[in-house]
Amino acid sequence: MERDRIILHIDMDAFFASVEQRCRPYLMDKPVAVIGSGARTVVTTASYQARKYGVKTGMTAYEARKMCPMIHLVTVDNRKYTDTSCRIVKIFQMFTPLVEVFSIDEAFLDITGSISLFGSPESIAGRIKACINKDLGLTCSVGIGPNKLLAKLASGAKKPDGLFRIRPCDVQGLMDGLSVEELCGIGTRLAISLEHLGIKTCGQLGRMPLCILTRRFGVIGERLKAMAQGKDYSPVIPIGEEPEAKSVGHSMTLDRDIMDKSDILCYLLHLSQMVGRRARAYRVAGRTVTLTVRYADFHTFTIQKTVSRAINGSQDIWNIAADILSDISLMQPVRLLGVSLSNLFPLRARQLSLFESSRRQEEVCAVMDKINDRYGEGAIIWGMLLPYCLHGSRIISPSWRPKGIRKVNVK
Amino acid sequence: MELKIGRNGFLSEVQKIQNITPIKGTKPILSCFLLETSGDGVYLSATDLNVGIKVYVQAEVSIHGKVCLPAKVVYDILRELPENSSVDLLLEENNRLRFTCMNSLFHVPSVDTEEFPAFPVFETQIMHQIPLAILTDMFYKVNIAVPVVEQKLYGAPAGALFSGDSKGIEMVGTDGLRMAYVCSDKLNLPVNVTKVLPKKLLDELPKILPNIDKGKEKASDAPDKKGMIMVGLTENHIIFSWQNIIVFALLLENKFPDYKQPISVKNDKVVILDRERFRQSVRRVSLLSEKKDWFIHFRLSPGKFVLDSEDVDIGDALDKIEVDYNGEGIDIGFNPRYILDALSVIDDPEVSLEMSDNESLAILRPKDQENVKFIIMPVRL
Repeated sequence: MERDRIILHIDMDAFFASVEQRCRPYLMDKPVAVIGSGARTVVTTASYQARKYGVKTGMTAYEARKMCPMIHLVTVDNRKYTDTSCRIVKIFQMFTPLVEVFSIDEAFLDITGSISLFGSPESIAGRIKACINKDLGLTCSVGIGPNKLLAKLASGAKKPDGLFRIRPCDVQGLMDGLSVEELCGIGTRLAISLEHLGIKTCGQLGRMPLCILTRRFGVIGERLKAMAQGKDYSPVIPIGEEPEAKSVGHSMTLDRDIMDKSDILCYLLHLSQMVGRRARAYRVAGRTVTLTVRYADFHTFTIQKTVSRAINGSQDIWNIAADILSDISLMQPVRLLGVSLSNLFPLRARQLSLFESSRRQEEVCAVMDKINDRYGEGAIIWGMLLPYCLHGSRIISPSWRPKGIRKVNVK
Repeated sequence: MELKIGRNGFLSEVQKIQNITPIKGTKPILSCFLLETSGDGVYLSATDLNVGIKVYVQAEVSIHGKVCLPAKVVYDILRELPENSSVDLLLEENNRLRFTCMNSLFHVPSVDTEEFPAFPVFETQIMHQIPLAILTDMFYKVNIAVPVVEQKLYGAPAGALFSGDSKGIEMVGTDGLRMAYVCSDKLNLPVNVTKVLPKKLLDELPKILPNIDKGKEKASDAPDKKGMIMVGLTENHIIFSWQNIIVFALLLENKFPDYKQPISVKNDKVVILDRERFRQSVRRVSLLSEKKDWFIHFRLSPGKFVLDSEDVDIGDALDKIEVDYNGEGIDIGFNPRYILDALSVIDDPEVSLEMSDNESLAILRPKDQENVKFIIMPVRL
């Protein structure tokens, strides 16, 4: 099976920045960085022209400007990106139904069965590139490989606007000298752990006796070894068949660091409302609420609480988040807050409550949802949120997907 | 301190004490009990600060004194000693208590008695006699709906309402989704009281009170003169006294939800069911209901009562009961746990299930008793 598959990995070039350049022609060929919308935010994407000056994702606006004084800073406009992403996916689907959206600007395509219809992998890749360029004015890099791992590696080889194929016969020579960090799935921490074992390249990792790896890394040891040998058996999971989401969560970096618990409670209500609304829209409820707190010094921790009954009401989620908050004493001002609901399961039926007061709360929730559906998000909000300007930095989450519960409505 | 005590009597009282001592907690001293000599016997007391117990056991005391001992250790020792033997207790100079019983010898370190919380002194001593069997039966029935922890979302405390006056006593337990209600005019109190009793008292009191054939006597039965228990109330405590046992509990300060409205509801779709047959059907059908958020369907139509459930992964189940029913049909969903809990504490052979529509409360009660009601909210399908 491994030998037979042909997988494409398509990665849009500087996606957000390119979309902005296309929308505003005066920005074409100029250094552009897309930044979040909050008071303090970071560069989410820099155009290739800006990258030449050393502007990178994650820099603050100030740092970016220092590196490249003539840079154009553009505030994110997520709807543009999600809309463009959906159009790109439609183009992919003209060539194969097996399209796995890996993130807003990346996808895997299994074109094994499309070869007889559309010709060689290179010609399919070329047609996709041409199509995206013609319809949307964007460029992308395409990697072709016998599996997802190698396809992803190939797309990164010739950026931007590249096309590169890794053939099974080239795998061994290629992997041998490759640093382990180049592999998708091996991060800095894992790379450090591997280095402790004297492993720096994929060749070394692939030759490592399995027992040593499993003793050190447990079950993933086997997968690591396979990855280093260029083997990856994971299938391309088409849209709609993704495993069910394990949690629904939202987080936001606050405009300023806050210490006051009553202010924090307001932010938590806002986050709980976002979480609850998404959970209700997709008819799931959860039993565990997790609160994430990041201090001013970036020290981050999470605390969770599990209740006996699954919930998805905004106020119910908020009550539990507030409960968790009341149990902790804050050591520093808070920079980021997050609320998530996990231990999820589909809500086929809803247990009704006995008393008028809690039933009223549920009804209020349902009515608020209806109003917000009809007149737009934020058409009706809780009074206690009025003094706050709660929009966060509006940076889209990497887990965004074009369909299903992971499709977060963005502003 | 030196005394001689019968093993059997000592063991059974320590066992009662053990029910109260918390298994784990922040205060290690609470896992101990206090033993104090008094006249021809000893008082044993234990508390978890919310519920406390004091029992009296006869003993031959040669030197008076008091000692604080770990309940679990003493209980385990006594259990292993020969039946009907007697145990000699001697407090040695290094504060260790020596147990001698026939050929066995144990030393148990004691804890400073000063650390042990003092047994509260109750200001009002107005005690009132009520039949024990009826009281414990009420506790049993109400307790099924009382949540282990407070349900803040529904405003339901981890305790049951205890309300009484000269006309009778009523008790209510609820977790916000179901409610158990019992009242009895066979019991009464000389004063008007409305208090919330903690869950722990409801759990433990029936276990502590001995030799009552639990569940056999119902709230409606004539009071049995032999088994009367004394009940006293103060501002913050409720006290029960029975023979050699005193149990007190700190009353909860929570507000209790408005229970009057649900119990006043009358439903028109009434079906009489054989309790055991109904219980079996619910159990069978619930096997294949969804594991996490399980519910089963009840479909009632003239002459027929069908229970069914379905789980996409496991399969489906259906059970039919023939009934004498001529009214309008209804299709309603319930959490089977709530139905089974109620059926487990109903003693009558026949039960009455009363419904109105599929989004309103249903009532399950013993067929011939108006004073016991289990109110259960359906699930919206």
